[in-house]
Amino acid sequence: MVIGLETHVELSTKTKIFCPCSTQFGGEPNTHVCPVCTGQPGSLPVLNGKVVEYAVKAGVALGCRINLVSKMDRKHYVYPDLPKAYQISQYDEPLCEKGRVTLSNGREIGITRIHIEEDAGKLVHEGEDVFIDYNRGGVPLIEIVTEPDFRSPEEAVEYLEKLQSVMRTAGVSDCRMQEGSLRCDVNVSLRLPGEDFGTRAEIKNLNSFTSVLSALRYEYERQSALLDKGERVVQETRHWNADLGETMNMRGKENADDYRYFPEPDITPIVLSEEDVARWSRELPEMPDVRKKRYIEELGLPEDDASLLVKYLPVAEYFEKASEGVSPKTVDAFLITQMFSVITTEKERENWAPKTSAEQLNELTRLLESGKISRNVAKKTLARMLETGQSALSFLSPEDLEGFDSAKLPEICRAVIEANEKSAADFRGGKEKALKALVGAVMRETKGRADAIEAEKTLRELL
Amino acid sequence: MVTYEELKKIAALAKLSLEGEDAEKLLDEMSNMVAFADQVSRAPVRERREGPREPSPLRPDEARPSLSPDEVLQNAHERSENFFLARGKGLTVAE
Amino acid sequence: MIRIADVTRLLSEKKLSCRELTEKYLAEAKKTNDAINAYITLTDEEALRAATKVDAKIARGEKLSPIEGVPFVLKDNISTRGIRTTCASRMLEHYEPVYDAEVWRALRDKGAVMLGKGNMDEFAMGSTCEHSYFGGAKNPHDLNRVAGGSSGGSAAAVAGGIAVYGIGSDTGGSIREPAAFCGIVGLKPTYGAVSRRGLIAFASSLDQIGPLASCTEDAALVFDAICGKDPMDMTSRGAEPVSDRLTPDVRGLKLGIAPEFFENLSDGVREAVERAIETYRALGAEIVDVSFPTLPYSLPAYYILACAEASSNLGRYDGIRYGHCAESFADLDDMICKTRTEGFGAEVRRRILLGTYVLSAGYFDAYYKSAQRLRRDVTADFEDVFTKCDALVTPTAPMTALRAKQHASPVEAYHTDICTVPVNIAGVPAVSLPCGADGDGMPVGLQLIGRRFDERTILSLSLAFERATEGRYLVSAGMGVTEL
Repeated sequence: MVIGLETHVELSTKTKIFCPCSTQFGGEPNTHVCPVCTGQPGSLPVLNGKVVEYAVKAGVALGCRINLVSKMDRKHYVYPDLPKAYQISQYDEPLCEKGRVTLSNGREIGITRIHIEEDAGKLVHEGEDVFIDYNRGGVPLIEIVTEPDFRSPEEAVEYLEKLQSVMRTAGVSDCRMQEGSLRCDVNVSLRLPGEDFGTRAEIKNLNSFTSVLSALRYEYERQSALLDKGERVVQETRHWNADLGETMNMRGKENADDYRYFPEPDITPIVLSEEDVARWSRELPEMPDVRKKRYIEELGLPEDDASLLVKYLPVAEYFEKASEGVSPKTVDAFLITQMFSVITTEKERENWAPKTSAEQLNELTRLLESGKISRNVAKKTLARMLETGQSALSFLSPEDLEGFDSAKLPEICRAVIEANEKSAADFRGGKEKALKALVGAVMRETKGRADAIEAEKTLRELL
Repeated sequence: MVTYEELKKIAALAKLSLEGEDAEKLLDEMSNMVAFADQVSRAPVRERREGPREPSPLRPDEARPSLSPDEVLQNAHERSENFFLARGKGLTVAE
Repeated sequence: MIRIADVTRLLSEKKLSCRELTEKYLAEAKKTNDAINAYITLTDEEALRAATKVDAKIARGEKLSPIEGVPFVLKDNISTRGIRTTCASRMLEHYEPVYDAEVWRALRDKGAVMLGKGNMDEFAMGSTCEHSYFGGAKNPHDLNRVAGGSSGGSAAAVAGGIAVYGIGSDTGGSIREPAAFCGIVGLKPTYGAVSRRGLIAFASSLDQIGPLASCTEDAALVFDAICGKDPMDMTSRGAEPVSDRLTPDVRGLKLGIAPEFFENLSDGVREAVERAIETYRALGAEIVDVSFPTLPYSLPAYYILACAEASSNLGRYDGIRYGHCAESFADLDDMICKTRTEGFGAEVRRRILLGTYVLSAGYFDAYYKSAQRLRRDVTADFEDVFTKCDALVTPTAPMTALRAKQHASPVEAYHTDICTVPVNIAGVPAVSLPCGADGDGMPVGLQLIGRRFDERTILSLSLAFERATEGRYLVSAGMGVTEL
């Protein structure tokens, strides 16, 4: 399989690309519009500086070369959601070029280019009539085009997830497919090893990562069936129909439009300085890949944990704050097992906002590391902290914090063994499980303050 | 010169109808206009470098009040609540 | 002819109230408009509102700013909120903009009194004003001749005494040529001196708004009032005011004469222009020979660029959000085609077709790209010329006002613009001033072209000529308001 991706990412600026109308989502139809974004006669576009900044940041984050001079062009076609009958986009002098994303299997995906453009309005079809809302018209987009470097549907989806993560970390887009701030078209063709690229089909209307996966898998089947029969794949645009699980030819679409590109005369060239680009690059937070590497190599976290933590910037930042001055592995353990595991939806993870603050978690970890509390106590305390949002100290009595004098452990263990002759005998007789009961007893005796692992060790020695 | 086929294609792109036009006259006019425009190809090529166009300051990302729906829909041929409405079918001559 | 300063003086001296003045102009306009068809819409209410405000200011003893209280005509392609703006087209016959053009806002804030919207060639495409849905504007000096275009209505109103000054737009000569035909002064400022926001676009990289006036000083005053950098028009740069920096002393200034501009002139034009050059020589200006080799190619290059941009700018007229909409159609595509074919006149349709053609795949390189290259060459020719002289002197048009309904072929009609289009291509400023008359008594226009943002030099030269000739070529057509 040979796959190339074209993604449109909505930039999260406050205003539209060519006018100061709000980009706020929702809103009654045609309430965020003005003469510019409704294409009134005599209106003129004025480029939003933040759009350029965000686009450059996206380009830097994806390893692109930033063109210090670029320009806008007009792309002409007629459709009711396009008020001027042309879209202001970039044709031959895009803002960013030649970037790179590396996948987990080591494959490098080339980013051909990134350019800025305006979004169209929204149409609602009812019978033969069209209802038009221009609120989304003029919202800034970047179009990210990859080289046809993907070789499997899974690679394509991994790229999309990475892209999403990078865009969010960079702070330039929410990048949500369901909300339309991330849109993806794919180009897919098949070839036998060693052959040239085959004819490709373009698939549109992919609204989720699963759609992308399913559509690409479907295309593999469809195209190989054709080729096996000796037929040819037609170069065409197809629509993914999620209900039927098929791609379908888009009938009724005009022949390839002649877009009649020419330079946009109303917008002066975009001229950036090296300083602009450097400054914006510095403003970028650490990218997920780099961070992950650091967590694994410097902090010694397991790879799976690291992947999970870096995926969401708020989580990574929380983790780092909670780890200040304590062992990151300990914090990681708390995070992964008790905090992160309980939330299951993407939405919850994106909107990471636990009741326990990073400082509170840090405090708890210090208590554990200083030996004032045992692992068991810490675990239980954290659970209560998460429920209430209160700090560790509000649940720990001075007694608890005394810590456990491990010198007392052998004595307590002996007492427990004496009190539980049957379990002791069972263990001596070979039943490992019996030890657990004894450990449980020790824990109860010490009100959970003893260290369970230490207790087990001591009991074994005694038995 | 400009053929009728080309003219039809161009008119379709430009969303203009050629019905009722004196096609011959229009073709003639268009051919003359194109022949006139052709003169640019005869200009001697003098490799002059273009001076850079001066960039203009970009707009700050600050929201300004929008038009109200009533204002923006004021001139619309048809509206439905706050939507612009483009009908897919108008009166046909027979009706 | 009545000048801005005359009006200001009369108002300040309370010899006349602004309301009386305005009512007089409105009355004359109603009478005269039948003959010359300068106005598409008269804006009595707005005019009297403004006049009343000016009178209140006078009553408070406040000083009037230079153009305050002076009645003018605004070309009907400049957006006026709530007031019909038609571009002389059926497409916008009933269109009322929901926002104001920046130029109109600036003038209104300075107390200008708008009498009405000026007739023009449809969407500014034409050189006679006959391509108007509302009928052509006539030349006040001879009602059987055209006023010129595309700002024909504005020129006719000023020359016909029913506006003290006018605001027009110039893409390939549309201010200067009607000014020449009607015997008044017309200035096309440097591209970017005046904001284009609200000017209903014809060709975005060529359009510029400017004044039409009865004398140079007036043109300068109006220029000062309308120039300025507009942050909401990325192509605008603003400009320095010139009124108090004009000087009629032109000794030592170098005037360039390029023979390419002097081909195929009518006898009347040639004689008047040559005499004018002699006048400058007598004033102490140095006449320098220069050359402008790209002139013959500038006209086709202009038409390619202008029509290409026009085809793009006019794509938005589909009957959905504003403007004319077809009643009878089979589907959406049909609706759009019918709307546009019904709404646009023949000249506009032709230019849209040509523009679409030169941008279409397969033709883009041969036409549009070549025209862009020629644009650079024309600009370079001007740069060369201005290393040798301070201003280029040419006729404004090869002929005087054409007879009405002369029905030249489209391409023949384009040749009227041969002297004016290079100016727009390069974005430099140019002024047309009356310098004589031909055998039929029709005014001849002299064009002075200057360096970018050097309106001061060309307007000074224009002022010098007026003073030297005692204003004898600033001739009233004897209609409208002839005295106050």
